[in-house]
Amino acid sequence: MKEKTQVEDIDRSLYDFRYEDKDAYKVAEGLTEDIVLRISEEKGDPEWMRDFRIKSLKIYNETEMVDWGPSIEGLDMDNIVTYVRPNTERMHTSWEDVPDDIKTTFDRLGIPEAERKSLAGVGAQYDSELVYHNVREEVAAQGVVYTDIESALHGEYADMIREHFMKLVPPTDHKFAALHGAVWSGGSFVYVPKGVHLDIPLQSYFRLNAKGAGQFEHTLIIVEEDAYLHFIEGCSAPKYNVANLHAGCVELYVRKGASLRYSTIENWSKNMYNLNTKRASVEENGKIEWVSGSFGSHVSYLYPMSVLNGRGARSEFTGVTFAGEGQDLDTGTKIVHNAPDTSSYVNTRSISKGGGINTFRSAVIIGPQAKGAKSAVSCESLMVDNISRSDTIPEMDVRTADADVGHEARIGRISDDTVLYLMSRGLSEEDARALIVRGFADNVSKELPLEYAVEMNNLISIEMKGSIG
Amino acid sequence: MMKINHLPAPTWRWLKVNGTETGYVAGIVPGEVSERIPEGVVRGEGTDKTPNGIPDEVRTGLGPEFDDALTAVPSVVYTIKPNEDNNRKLYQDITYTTISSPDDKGCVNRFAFNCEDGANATVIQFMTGGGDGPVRAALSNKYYVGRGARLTLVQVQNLPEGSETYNDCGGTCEDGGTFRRIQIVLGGGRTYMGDFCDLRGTKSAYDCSVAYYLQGTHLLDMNYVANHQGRRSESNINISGVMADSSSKIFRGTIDFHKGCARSKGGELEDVLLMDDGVINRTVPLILCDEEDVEGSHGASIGRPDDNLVLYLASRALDKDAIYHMMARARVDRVAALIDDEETASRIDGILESAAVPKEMPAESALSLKRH
Repeated sequence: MKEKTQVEDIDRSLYDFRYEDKDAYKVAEGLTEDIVLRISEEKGDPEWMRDFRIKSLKIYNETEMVDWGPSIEGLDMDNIVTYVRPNTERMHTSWEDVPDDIKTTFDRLGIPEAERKSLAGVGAQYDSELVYHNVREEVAAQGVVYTDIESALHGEYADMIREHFMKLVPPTDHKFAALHGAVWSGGSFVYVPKGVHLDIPLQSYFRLNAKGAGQFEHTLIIVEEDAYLHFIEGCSAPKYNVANLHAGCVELYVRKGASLRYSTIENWSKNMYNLNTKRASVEENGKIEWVSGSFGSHVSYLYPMSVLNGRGARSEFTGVTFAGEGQDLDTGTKIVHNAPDTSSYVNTRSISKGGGINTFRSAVIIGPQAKGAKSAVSCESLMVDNISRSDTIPEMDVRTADADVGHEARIGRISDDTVLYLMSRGLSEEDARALIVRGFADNVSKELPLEYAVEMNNLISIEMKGSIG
Repeated sequence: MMKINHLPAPTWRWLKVNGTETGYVAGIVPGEVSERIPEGVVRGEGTDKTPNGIPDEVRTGLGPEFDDALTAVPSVVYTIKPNEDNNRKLYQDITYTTISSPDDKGCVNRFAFNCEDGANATVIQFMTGGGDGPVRAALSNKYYVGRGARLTLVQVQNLPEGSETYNDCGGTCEDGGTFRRIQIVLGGGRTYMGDFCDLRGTKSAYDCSVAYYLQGTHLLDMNYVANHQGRRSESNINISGVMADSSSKIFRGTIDFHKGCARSKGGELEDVLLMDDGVINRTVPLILCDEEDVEGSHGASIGRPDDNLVLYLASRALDKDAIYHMMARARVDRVAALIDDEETASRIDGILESAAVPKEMPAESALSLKRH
């Protein structure tokens, strides 16, 4: 008997486990000024931050909901708990001190092992708070700061935080940026001094365990002149039958001649609304590299943005998105060329199956001052069955004659000719198809450190069997 | 305000490309039409929104608000009967009256072409002004292309500076029906144009080629949609243009594959030559895909002329202005060459030679632009 070729959904059994809520504290559901003030009090905010939260809440209430992209009707802020403090008194610098259930969570996700093997530092957030943060001594000795953002807010970096916090992504940017400004909690602050080249990456891992909760971590990274950093973030959550929300914010400052690679493997559960905002400002001859793997969440709006402010600044974006059953993932990137001789390169792949919806959305803006700018965008989409959907919505805005902009997009199915060719080289049809689908996402996996490439391949977990029916 | 040229799938609002708002209020006076009708084409008139002979409501590129605004003017309906002459041409010269004040509503013309099963014809429309002053022109073309039929619509827009033009189009292709559109925009002022081609028939096809040359403060706002519903339907949208001075342009091009249009193919390609720093070029090429077994692609190339080519031509004793204008001319010529009609080609040539060569260009450089 013949079977139709199957491409299996992502195997998320590794991530879909949960522990009973033993939270020390959580605010009430919904979003009110009282709740925002309660969070501010819990965090011990300085006055300016408390005022900032209240101002952001006002902007949130005055800002319209998006009228484009996937439906977020299933997200009711009245049902979301915006702050959940786990049952641990403070952030730890030793895994042994982390409470057992939380430690077991991160053990199962392989975080401590990864830290030992291949990382310069690790931050681990559980619900609304960082529970673990550590950086290798030799890295700290070079002046690298890697800490939770709350500690930085009260310590010697307080002025730096105030100078940069939500300046790249102001609360007025969109409704969920305003929400973030009001209820943010947790996240990391990284400072890499001038000329320091970190050969091994730092990683933050975000785990949302509480049912019906939101996670609003803030990541702020400053890479000074001629420095280099590879930062990795991972995220996951167990699946619940109610909506969870992730509205984090990432702000990256890449100074003159510096380079930052920001890699993300996103694997939220399928009840998650992932409305995350990421943005980088890049100065003269600086470089930002985004490597993005989007596999989880029910709905995603995710478009890392590069603002190329200095002459010769560069941006590279490499992404893969896999949308399966029940997923509507709207992903892509935005690039603003604000200076001469800037360049950008975008290379994405998306795979839709099982009724999943993929949308690639992009904007390349080349301002009048960006003479000599170059941009190339390439996106490819693969439809694996006839119940899925894939859309491509790019935009290019060019305001100088002295620019070179190229864009290409393709959408289609697995090529019969390629299958035939591979079969002529001795592969079975099912092996040929499996090879093509695996190879399709190779552009991202080859950009990741080996351990994460393996994780990504586990996530895709493509399994072919039988022959075409 | 009237909203036109809706992007079929909206994107970020701050990009301001989801549609265009205009204060257009339709007039009730038609532009003067001089026409030559070939044998086998019957001219009639209809007042319904849905023109005679065209079974369903027709969607258009500019959209329903604009379409509804024109209904006060009767639609002239041409029924194209099949016959043995595959080279039939219907010539229409549409002359718009110069407006006397900014509030003048201008002229409106509505045409519908019912190309019956197996019929074949080309419609050639020249849009010009009645004088040197600006016009306000609205033109609607609707089409129904029957089984195995082939309809080509050629439009050459050569309107006076400062004009405001709404050039709308939309229709349906049945099994094996092909609609070709060749459009050349030379001059004008503010131009809004679009097309919505509903490829509902198996093996139906849409082939759209547009060339434009924008100077001064010209604005060109476009919205083209190939709506694939039929199996093995095909579309090609090719846009080629030149922008100079402070001109601006938005191109929205959509290939929309609906469920059931298996084995369909759609491609769109845009090539924009930017000649001056004051230009604003916006491009939004969409592929919407609800069917697995299709092939869709789009490509865009936007920027200044290729340095190597400029260097080569300079080595042949051409100055920079002449080189740029030669490249500009080549883009329009490439589309004009698709028109299988000597008379039309000659008229376009005349317009190009008077419009594309700047007055200050040296005579020897101007000579190099001449094709013949």
